[in-house]
Amino acid sequence: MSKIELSNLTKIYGEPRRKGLLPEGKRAVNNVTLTIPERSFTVLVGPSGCGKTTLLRMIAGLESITMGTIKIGDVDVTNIDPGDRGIAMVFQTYALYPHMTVWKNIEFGLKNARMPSYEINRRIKEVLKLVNLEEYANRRPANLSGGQRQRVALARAIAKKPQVFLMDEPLSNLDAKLRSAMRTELIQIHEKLKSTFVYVTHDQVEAMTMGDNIVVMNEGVIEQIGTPMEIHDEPNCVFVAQFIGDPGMNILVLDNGKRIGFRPRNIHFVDEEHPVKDGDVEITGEVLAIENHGSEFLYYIDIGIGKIYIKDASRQIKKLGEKVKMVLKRQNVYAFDENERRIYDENEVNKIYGYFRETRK
Amino acid sequence: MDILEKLENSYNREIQKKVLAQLDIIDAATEKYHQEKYKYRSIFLEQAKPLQDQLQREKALHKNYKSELRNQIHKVKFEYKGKMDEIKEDYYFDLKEAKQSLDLIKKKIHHNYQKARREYMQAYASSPEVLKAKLNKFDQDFKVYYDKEIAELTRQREETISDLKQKHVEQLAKLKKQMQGEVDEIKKAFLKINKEAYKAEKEAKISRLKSQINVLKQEMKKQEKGNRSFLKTLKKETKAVKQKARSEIRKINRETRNAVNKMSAQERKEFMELQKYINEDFRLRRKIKLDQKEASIMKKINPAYIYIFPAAFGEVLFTLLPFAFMIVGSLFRVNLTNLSKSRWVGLQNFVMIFTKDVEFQKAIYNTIIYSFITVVLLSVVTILMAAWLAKNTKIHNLAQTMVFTPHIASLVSISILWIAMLNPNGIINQVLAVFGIKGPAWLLQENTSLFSVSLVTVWKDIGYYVLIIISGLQGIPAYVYEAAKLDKASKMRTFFSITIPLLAPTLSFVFITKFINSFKVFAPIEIMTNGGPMGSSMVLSYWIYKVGRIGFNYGPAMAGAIILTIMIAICTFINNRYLRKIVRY
Repeated sequence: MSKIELSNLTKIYGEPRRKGLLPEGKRAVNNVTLTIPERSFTVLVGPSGCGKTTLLRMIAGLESITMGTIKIGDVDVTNIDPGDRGIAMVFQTYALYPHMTVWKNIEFGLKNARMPSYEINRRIKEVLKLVNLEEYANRRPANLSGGQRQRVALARAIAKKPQVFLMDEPLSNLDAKLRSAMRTELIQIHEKLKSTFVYVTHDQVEAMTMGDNIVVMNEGVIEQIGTPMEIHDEPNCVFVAQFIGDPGMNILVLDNGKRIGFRPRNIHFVDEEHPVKDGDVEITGEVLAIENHGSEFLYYIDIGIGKIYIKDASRQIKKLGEKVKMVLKRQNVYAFDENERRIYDENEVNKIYGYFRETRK
Repeated sequence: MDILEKLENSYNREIQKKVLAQLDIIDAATEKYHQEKYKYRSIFLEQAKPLQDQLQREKALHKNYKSELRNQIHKVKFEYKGKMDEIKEDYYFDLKEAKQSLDLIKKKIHHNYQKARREYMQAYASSPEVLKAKLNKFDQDFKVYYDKEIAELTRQREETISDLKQKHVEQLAKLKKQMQGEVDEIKKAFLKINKEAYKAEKEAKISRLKSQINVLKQEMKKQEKGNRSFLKTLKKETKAVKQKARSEIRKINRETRNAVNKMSAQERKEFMELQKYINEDFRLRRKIKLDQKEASIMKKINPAYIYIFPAAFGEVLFTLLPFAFMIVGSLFRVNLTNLSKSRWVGLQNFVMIFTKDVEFQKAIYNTIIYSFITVVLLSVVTILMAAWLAKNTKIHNLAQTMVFTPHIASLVSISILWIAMLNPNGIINQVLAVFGIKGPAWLLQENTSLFSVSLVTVWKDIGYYVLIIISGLQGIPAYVYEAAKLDKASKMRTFFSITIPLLAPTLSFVFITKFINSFKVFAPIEIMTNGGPMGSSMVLSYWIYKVGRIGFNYGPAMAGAIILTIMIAICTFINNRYLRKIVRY
């Protein structure tokens, strides 16, 4: 129930050449400054190797900090032991103690916190009820299924009543159906506990559905912070635009170096004779691949200056190699500059859009 | 030009073809002889095969019929055992909880009591007199209430526990009864079928098949007998044909050599080059023949038997046969120089060593003491050392190497080294003297000799077992330690609650191997103390050696060896049985 403040946090792997110097390895986390609000469900999302897990482990205290400070609540925890930070972590591999029963697994941390035994008993019963594992209290992890193990790990974290929950891809070892079930369960638990959750994932669907605050990371730097809607509708750079969404935004590089982007769902097929309105752009192309998603079709289309995805919910199925005509509207277009940053200035966007329309005629 | 084409038109190929023709003649002759030789056998096999198949089927059916019963019973028992285990586990869990609950309530009451007292103190802080009176009254009331309450609760707890016990016993008995019932039913069902007639019919069928096969076999043998003289002549003929072909080949080779000698240098070079390919052809032909032979052999024998043969040979010759000889020999007064003069004494040897031989009794006692000292000392030292050394830095690697060095050195040299060091005026006592301690005489003193020897062997073994335990430590996943860190576990607690339990499989291995090795200890005793002084370091192995090889009393020595084997077997069994329970997770 407290916010986390990271300031100028940096992690460099490797050994320094001499004492007092900085190590010369890869910068896994590079000068990150971030405030995670109180009681939020913050999701750190990014491709593999972007430093999100390292960041989480630094907050947990499992990874040494090269530079910068971490504050949880009002306390500077940069040099405090993991056990004293008031946090609980759920690992990707669950990290249950294999030789202990479920009960003992949960009890272990509470005992180490020097809690009286009646309090321990009460809490364990409470959390086991919360995660529906009451009848498995004296089983060992080896005799539980993956989902049950996951819930034990969760119960172990909850029992400590921490200020902050850290979760490192906790659902990635579960099958698809169980994953979605656990997703809802986690959201409910967050509602109930009102703690600060920090959740790491590489799956942008998970991020969009669970988080109320999303942090997109790439190569050790934060690209954008915002609510799911903001991240999806107002990406501030090409990376975020392409990473968020299924599939990501179509980006076309124009001759003048500027980029133009639009979501696969915001471009539509039209008939050959369909009149194109004044402000719209007409695009023609050839179907390269088709994916059947059941309720809709995903087309991969070559339009000359690039290749784009189109999501089409209509039941008129195109064929491979078919020549198709599409229409793009002005309000669906995003513009990016040469450095792949978003252009917000309306006039500038109009200019780029006009240039794009000229080239398509 | 293509090499193949060149080869086809060459002189080499011409010769090869001639040689191959001769080889074909040899093969054909051999084939013919073999066919003739095994003619009747193959006919017999063809005729007998369906009969043999049927026989095997019948036998298997008979066998299955019996094992089916066993299987079914086993299955039922296993099922019930699982159920019983579950009930037992639940019972212990409930029992523990029931026992704990009273403590919890006591704690709670006490907590409330303190709270109430504190409140009184706050309320009457201004007037100590009143406070004292109030508190006194409160304490008295509380005591009465507490005693009553606790008595009641204790009674309740006893009741719950006895209830639980009774329920548990009832459940178990019920399950057992059910299981017995099911087993009986299965047996009954089988008994119904299993009648004498069934058995007799089966046996008659089998014997009929066997006799049919036998008849065929007799016939075959008769025919083979009749054919023997023909075979003899055929063999001679084949031999002659083979010889002729071989001489032909030799002749061709001779001619070729002459021709080559007459060639010019250029031609000869060309010839030699092509001959390489021809030779390879012959080599491949031989290899193919060999492959066929191998396949035909392997078809008849399971290759597993071939693989285990060397080990089995050694085992039988050097372990099982001597052991059998030992068992027999322990019942005799053995005279190795003249075995026929050995005399049967029955169990006299065993009786003698157990009742009259004081040294033997001491040896058993010492062996057990020695094993426990070494195992306990070694496991404590190695675990601590391994926990310290299981890091990958230069210093730790160097330390690992140094710790391992004694294991490479021979036990004899180490023993001699330690004899010098443990001398009453040796380096160890000198070092102790620096601190003002007067060291014992170590190996020369009755009460320290065995301990000194075990110290030396432990010192030597540390390196080896540290290595094993380090590998065990590295098998513990890192995330468990990370979870422990987040659970605020101190270093000590992590070590005892996580490292040691997760290391249990490795530790059980170390325990078992070290126990066996300690029981068999011989060399250091022989070199350092000779079992002395006054038999204080006499162990079983050394006793066996002394009685057998020095005293020539082979009978008692063999009896002692059997006792040693039994001791090792019991120890290993116990270790296996009880450590496996801890190991399982």
